[in-house]
Amino acid sequence: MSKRIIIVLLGLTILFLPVSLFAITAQEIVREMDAQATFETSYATGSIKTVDRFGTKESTFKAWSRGTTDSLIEFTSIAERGQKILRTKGSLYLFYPDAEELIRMQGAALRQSVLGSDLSYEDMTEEKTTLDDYDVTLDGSETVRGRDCHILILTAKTRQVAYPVQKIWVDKETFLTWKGEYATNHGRLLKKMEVLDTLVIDGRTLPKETRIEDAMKSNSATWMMLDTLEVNIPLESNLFTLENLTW
Amino acid sequence: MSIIRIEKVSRNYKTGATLVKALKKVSLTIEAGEFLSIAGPSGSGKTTLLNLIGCIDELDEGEIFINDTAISSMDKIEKTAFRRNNLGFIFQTYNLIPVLSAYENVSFVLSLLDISEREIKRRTYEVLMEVGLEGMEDRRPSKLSGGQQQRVAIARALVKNPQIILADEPTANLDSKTGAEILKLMKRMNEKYHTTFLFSTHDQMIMDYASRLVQLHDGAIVSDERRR
Amino acid sequence: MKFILQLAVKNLSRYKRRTIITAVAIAVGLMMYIIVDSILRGASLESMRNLRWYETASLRVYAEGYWEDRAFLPLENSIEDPASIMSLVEGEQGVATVRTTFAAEMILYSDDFGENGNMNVKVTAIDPTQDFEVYRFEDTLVEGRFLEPGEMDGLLLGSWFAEDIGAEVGYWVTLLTRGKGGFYEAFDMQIVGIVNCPNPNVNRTLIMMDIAAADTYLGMENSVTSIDILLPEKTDLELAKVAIQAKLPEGLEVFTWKDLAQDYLAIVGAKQGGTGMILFLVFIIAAVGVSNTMLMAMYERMRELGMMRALGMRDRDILLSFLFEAGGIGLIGSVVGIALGSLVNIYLVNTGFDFGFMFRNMDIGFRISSVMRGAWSLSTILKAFSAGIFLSMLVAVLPIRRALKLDIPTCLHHQ
Repeated sequence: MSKRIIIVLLGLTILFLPVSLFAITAQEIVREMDAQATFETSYATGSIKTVDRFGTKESTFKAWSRGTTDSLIEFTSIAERGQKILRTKGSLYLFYPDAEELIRMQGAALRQSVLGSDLSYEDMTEEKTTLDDYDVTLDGSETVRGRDCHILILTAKTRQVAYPVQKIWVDKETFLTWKGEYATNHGRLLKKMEVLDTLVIDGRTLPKETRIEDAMKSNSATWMMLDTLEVNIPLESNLFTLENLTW
Repeated sequence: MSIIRIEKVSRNYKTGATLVKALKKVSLTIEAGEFLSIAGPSGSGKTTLLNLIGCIDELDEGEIFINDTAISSMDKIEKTAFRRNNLGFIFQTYNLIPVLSAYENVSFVLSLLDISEREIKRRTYEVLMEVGLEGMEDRRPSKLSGGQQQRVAIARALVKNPQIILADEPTANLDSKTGAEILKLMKRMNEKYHTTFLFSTHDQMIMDYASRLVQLHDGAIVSDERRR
Repeated sequence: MKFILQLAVKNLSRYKRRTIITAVAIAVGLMMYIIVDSILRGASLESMRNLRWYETASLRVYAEGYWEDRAFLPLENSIEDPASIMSLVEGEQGVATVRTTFAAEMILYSDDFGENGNMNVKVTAIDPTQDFEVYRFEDTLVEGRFLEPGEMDGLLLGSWFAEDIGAEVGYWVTLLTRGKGGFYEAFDMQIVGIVNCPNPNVNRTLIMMDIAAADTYLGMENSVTSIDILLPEKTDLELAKVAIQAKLPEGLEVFTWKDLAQDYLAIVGAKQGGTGMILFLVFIIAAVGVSNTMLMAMYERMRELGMMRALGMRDRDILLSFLFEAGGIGLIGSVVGIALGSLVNIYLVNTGFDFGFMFRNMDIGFRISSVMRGAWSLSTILKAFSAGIFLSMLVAVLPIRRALKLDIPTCLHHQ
């Protein structure tokens, strides 16, 4: 066979290969999604607003992170001023400046809610290793807020995750998760998440305003808002230590 | 034979900052069976002397011998026992126990000694009869006249056959007629049982009855007169 | 001695009014002591019964690590092979049952409850066939029916809890919880029965469901959070605990009802301090009253005292006479106090007081929901009796001894 025919045949083969062989997989989407959300370092300021039948509560915070393992949140609103949450080396610590109390949160304690919000300590400090815990399948596409999104169904591999079933809408371009539905094994909807506003930093699109709604209770929702975000900035080496926590 | 020997006995009392010398080196010998009156004005030391002989007060100086036993050699318990066994007391204000009957006021003195119930009963009834209170054994002091109460007191003093009876102003609370009766009774007992009677008094009637009169003045003996 | 006693008795009638007042004061104090002791004893007995019958049983087996985190009701520290443990336990003359207790959020809906709502609750999953061997809920049903084995969506509520949330048989609720491992689970349950449990702490919070259902929802895989054991009443629980612990495989711990009801024991301890206080107050009354009476008697009889000493009565015998007199006042007080206290106690023991209105909204620590009854105690009565006499004699000692220190002439010439 001449060289020319081989090239044409190759070209035809490539042309007629099933589209799926070139199409992105669910796993790849999740990997990209996780990667987009992870920075070497970051510093953010923002607020959490909780609305439930008792009323509205708003708290402001500063947050630092390094990779996927270390994070520090310091509350700056009056009621919680100086309270800190540190995650490092797989452990979670709380610091209460008024009582000068340092608490290590373990086990069942991690399921407690942060400042009465719909977020638990677990939620706030989970590591972004989605594929370790979930099996992922692609379930088509849908437009959310004018953006074309992959729909992914995540099914827990073990019982050691909070949400056995997740359905997320991931932006095909930016890999931002615009919407999420978190359910029990039997499909009972527990929480709904929606990104209401975004910001772009370092070429990545990130949630600026996120709304989390408790699907089991009416009139209960939490908003997470980022005011500022800086990424890949130098951070003090001792930032994520216990000594720094109690300072 | 002398039953009581008082040798250079002194007794002082402190009243506030002042030291009062109630008895000043008094010496006296008393024979068994005497009916002796110690007389003198108030503050002369007669009651003090009686108290010392009765072992209810402490000597400061000198010694008192009763039956050749020195009083100051006895401790509190020995003195109590000595009084219990050997001495009788008659008081101006009778000092009967108001909740006890005449019989009980007399018999309790015997119950302090090692005597059988039967014996106590016999002797008590006997002495009450002796003092003229037969039939009044069950009466409480409130139901007895002054004279009758003093008779009970005399019976109480006599019932244990003491060697010495000390009487401090025994007629002071009685009218003259009753006083005379009481005095006669005591004299009769003195003659019958040969009990030594010592009176502290300024009652002239007692002084007249006494076989010996010792006069005290300011803590010292000023006269010692044998009458009969 | 006969005379001394005779004198003491006769002297009691000497100051009738004073004696009566003092004796009455002692009597009232002792009566209070008997009554308070009776109520506390009765409350304690009933509480212990209600604890055993409805809350703690006699002993409980937990997996290692559960006790430290018990506030969080951790499903991860569960007993893996309960069936084998049960057979070990039942050899000790006890009966046992399995239970799984977990924390949940109960979500109420306006359809049934009139408005939406949610609250944090504790749910106890039971084995309906075995639970009644250990606990006595069998006699407490007031509405609806009991749970059936394997029933996936039935709930049993305590009547006070039902009342507090406005629940009725037939209403639906949702329980939102975290299963073993941490995964969220939500399941709808219908109230099938309401029980009226005499233990208020239980009645106020009780939610029961079937354990097989809980096993499915929570992913327990046949493990349970506790094995509850009932032993015969007079069993020495500490011995039994040791015996059972020795038989158990590693990784399990045994607790007695005392370990489980520490809050109750703290209250009881505090309240027993209360009876001690009352007895102390009685002592003060006796001390003041009798002491005063004896002092006055002393001063009034000073000359008599001098006379008796002069006539050779031993100080010891005089002291005894006055002590017997003081003791006599105490005796009168004791007898009257015990008589009165016992009379009141008859009512307390047989009828009692209904404090239901108070207990409904207040947790006083005792496990009693309505009627508080008294209980007889011979030892208390004997203690009260002897305390009245002994304390009276005790406080008379000082004033008498002081008087006896005076010299005889001073006594004789006392005005």
